[in-house]
Amino acid sequence: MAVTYRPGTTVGEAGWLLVVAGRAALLYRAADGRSAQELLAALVAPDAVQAALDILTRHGLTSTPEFAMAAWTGAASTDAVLLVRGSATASARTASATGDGEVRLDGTTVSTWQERRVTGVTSIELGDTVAPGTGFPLVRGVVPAEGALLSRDPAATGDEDATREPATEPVGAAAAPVAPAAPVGPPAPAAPSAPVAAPAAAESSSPVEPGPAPTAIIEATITELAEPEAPVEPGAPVTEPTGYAHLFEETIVRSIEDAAVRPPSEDDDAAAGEATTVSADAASDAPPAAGDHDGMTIMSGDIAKLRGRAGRAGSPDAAPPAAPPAPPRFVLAVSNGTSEIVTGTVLVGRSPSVSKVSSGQVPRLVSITGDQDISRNHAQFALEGDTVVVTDLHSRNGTSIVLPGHAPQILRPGEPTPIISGTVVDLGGGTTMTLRDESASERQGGDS
Amino acid sequence: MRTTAHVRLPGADATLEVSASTTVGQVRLVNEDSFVAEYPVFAVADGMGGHERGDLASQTAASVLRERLATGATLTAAGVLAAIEAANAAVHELSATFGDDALSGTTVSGIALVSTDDGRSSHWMAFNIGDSRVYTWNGRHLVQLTVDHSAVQELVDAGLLSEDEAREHPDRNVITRALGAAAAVEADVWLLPTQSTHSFLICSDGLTKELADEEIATLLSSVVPGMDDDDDGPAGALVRAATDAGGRDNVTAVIVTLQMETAASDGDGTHTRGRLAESLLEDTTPRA
Repeated sequence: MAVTYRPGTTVGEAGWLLVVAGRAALLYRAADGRSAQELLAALVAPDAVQAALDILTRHGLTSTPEFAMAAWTGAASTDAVLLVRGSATASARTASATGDGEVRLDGTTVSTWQERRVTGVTSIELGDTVAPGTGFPLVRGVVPAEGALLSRDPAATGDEDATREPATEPVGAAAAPVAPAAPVGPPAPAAPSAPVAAPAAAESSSPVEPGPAPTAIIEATITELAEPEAPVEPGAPVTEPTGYAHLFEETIVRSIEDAAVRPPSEDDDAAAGEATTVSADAASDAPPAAGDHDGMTIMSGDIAKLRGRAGRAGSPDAAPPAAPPAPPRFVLAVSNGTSEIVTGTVLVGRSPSVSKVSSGQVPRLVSITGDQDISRNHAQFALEGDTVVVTDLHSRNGTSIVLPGHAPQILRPGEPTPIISGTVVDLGGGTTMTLRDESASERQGGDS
Repeated sequence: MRTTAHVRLPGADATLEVSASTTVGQVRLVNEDSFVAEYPVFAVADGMGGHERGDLASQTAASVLRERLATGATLTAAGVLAAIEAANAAVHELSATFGDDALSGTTVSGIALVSTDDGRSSHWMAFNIGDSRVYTWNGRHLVQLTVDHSAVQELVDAGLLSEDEAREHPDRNVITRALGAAAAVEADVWLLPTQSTHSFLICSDGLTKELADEEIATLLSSVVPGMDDDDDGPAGALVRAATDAGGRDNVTAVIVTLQMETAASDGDGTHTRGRLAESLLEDTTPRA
């Protein structure tokens, strides 16, 4: 299966995520990347469709997101199953002895989802149409996307007639994103385009490639791509600055920042100057900014130069480009205007008390006064590793949480529940606490 | 000693009544107990190691706490813990200067008024290392707050010994945790929100080995504030009673009562939203 997609620009209320793995692809409306990891794993399960449905529907039908899913079935991947819910669409092009055809599904007329098995499928579209030559290739991963085009790899079928027509489409699409890199120059960039050209050739003209699974071919090719991509010159017309990082790693949930198209750098000096600033920041404060991919592409030769300049500006080793991402720094913003840093344990209540703890585990206390709806010891937040867990301390009126993009849920008393940045914890009586990861906002601030 | 002071808490003014008393008892030659009773820290230390060493250990612990905490500055829980660590280091240093293998050390139990929630509220922070004790007293009930670090307490916890048997057990003086016994020490900590009226009894084991909790409670309730002629108030009354009952060990008691004048009482119970009738029927007091 070869997949190309049209990138989406947002993750949020209206954002769609495309999950591709194994022989299946799923486009679903997602407020965040919470389930993405699990879905990615589900798609390589023996029964990918069932596994993914289990995840999508686990909070009940009303909370199930709109989605379009496709999975190739059958030993030769000539058949496919399509599922569609809500406004998402999926269509499959078919080729058979009697002629080409198209099967189109749309979920708006049903309350659950549409499901159809189609035989002799040559390509599948999920969501918006991906015009030939404009899509980004994706082997495995999660990306914000508006639409995806899945085409069967002809090598797997050996049926040239059936594949000829769709083959031309995705090949163009797959090759396209490489084009921006190509103009860089003579020998080196020839390498990046070559591997992609190889599958292109395999698809259109060389049916010699018989047995091996199509994904294997693509993955091997992509690995080769990884090396040559780095040395793209900063000054070169990089029209797709987000790069192909999503191809090199297994899983990527890209942030809004990464998804946005960044204008190319003016010249070397500007790029270098900017990078120096980042390094200086990192040296003076926390390491966050340097850790994440910041959208800049730097030639490897420049790194030494940048380090030299950064050294003059401050510490020489301050900004290794591969510095680990900063640990999260969680802050609880209380609706009464105060805020608490979550380091160890934070105990919240109308009149909180602590009974026999060791000196190393004394929690911070947050008193919410003047509201009898709130219990004396109402809820507790604790930082466990890089995660914040909230526990309702058997409060009289309970605690509910609203994870971003989800319906409110009431905490089970005494049961620690992990929450993510953006989660609103409602103690009742109009008192809420919102969890924020300040290191994340710093990173984004540093990037823009 | 006996003092009355006015203190200012977040949102309320309060009167603080403190009485403290210590005695060598009828058997011992040296009083190895020491205490601190200076706002906002109140603690008792019971030295061990015999002969001057215990004496010095408890005095050192008390003076470190006094110097670091009774400075007039607002305390935080972290500050109190740092002072306990400093006291531990100071007492541990003493052991080293004696130059032999014998351990010297001291218990320390007490309370400190600490600022919480960035100064928006205040709590009583109770701390304990060893077998001196902090009790809360609400005028009717005497409740032991701290849990002894002692061999018999472990037997009691394991259900092998009753409280009464523990009082006479041969190992009753063996403690399992002491300030100054090691380079690092871990205190047990409690944090209690300040209430409109709040009393604490801090005492060494010389008091609790002579008097049962019920006897202490009876004595405390019979002491009428202001009517006592003695200089050392209710603490003095307790110490005298323990001495009269045998006084086999040093006896020390510190009693602290905080009474808010402009009580911004927050009410005792948590309301149940939209279920008023039910909340009237139920006991709405959450567990402490």
